[in-house]
Amino acid sequence: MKVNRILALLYRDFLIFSRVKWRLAETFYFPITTILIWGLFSIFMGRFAVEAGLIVLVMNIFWNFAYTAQNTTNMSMLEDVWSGGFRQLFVSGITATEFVIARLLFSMIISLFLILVMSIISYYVFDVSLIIQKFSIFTILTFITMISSLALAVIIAALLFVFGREYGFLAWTMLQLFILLSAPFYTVDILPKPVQYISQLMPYTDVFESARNLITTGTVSSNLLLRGFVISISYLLISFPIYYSAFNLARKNGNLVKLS
Amino acid sequence: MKAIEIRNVSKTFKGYGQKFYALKNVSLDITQGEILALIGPNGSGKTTLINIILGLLLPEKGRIKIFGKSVEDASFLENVNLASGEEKFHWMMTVNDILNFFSSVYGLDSSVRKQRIKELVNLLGLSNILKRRFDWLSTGERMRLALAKSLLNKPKVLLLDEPTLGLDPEIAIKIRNEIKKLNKIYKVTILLTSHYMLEVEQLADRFAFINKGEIVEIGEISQFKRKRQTLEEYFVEKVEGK
Repeated sequence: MKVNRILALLYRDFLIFSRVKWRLAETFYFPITTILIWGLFSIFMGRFAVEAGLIVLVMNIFWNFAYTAQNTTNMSMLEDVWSGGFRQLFVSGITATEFVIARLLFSMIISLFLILVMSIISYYVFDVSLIIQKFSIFTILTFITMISSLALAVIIAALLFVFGREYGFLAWTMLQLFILLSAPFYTVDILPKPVQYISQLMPYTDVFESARNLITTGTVSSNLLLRGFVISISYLLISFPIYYSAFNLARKNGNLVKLS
Repeated sequence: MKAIEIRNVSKTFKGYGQKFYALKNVSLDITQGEILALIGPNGSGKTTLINIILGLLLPEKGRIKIFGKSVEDASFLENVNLASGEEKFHWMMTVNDILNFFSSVYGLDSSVRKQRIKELVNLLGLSNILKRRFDWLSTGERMRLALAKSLLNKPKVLLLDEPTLGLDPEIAIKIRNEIKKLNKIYKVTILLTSHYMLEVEQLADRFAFINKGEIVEIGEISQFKRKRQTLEEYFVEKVEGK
């Protein structure tokens, strides 16, 4: 693994990101307007049930953060595919590891910047003081969410290598299923019994439950945080072997060439 | 000295539920400093072979060495590069961005990078379009950019896949002259694929005719001059199975 190649890819991703307007819009416009909408909803809900509005707002912060962390990685990859420049990257000696590590780093920087912006808006515009009061827990939840999303991004990248460009839609659809099963606005016991077992294995379930507990009781169980951390790290550890296997499979069946 | 050594390379693909050979026991040697043209009809396996040489595709059987180094070791790419007539880069990147990006990938120091880019920009006449975005470039400019990019790492082996595809004749002549120049000045070994037989006659020292994944014949371009036959006539004969 060569640092100069990772830095070159990182610089290139920033360059492209800053010039492609739809990516800027998708990354910042939608999350920020979503937070504004649900922030206003939380003010309105404050007249009836303070916590309900706050839960919706905070869950949306994590949801948008999770989506951006995953989606940014996969969109960078897809842009290489769509622009036709995919082959040139690998021909220049960039390895599968450098290719994905650069994208994960880029995604981390963009998504952390986004959650900072969303937190500032929530604090200053909607008076959500929880983020500052419980900053350390909020940071841990952010970390778990990020690890989970990056792991998902690596798995989606692997799926693109296996199934080809027509499965590019996974980049913006797969996370929705994970969020649904991770019980964002409701507790896991609302879900049908068999789905509850699946939900327990979802990387975001503990993040959402912790955030809800934080809002309603002011405390979070350390066991819940630890479980969330272990699950997210497990996803990340599993994602890389899947990614490498998929890359090698793509070299065997010609999908790597077809992506170009 | 052998620049490229290809031994018994076979590759199959599955299509419509059937397995077919894209390459079958292909063996080929290319000497250092030589230009060898790989010719054959569409779907004969030319691009598949190039992709295997580049490590983008894994063969089922056989081995390839570049200057004695197996292509299984990715570091061989430091001495190899590719320019294709259909090469694309990100549409929002300028010529300068693209050359700088690949220079960084090749690990060129800032001062070396500037000097190298300047040299190639002058060689290939890109100085007026350095700030132009890729999607604003003409086909000829794109090809010249692809060539400049392919020379950044001073490759010992250059793979040229249809380098003048879709170009106007006067630009194609310019590109051919550049290829000749590269071979003479930098002693680059070139593996060329082309559908333009006149181009092959002008550029190549030898040719390898590939059909249905098999190398049918390897010969010298000069043999056609002796036989008073054109390469185009030979190509048609071979394809029609005469």
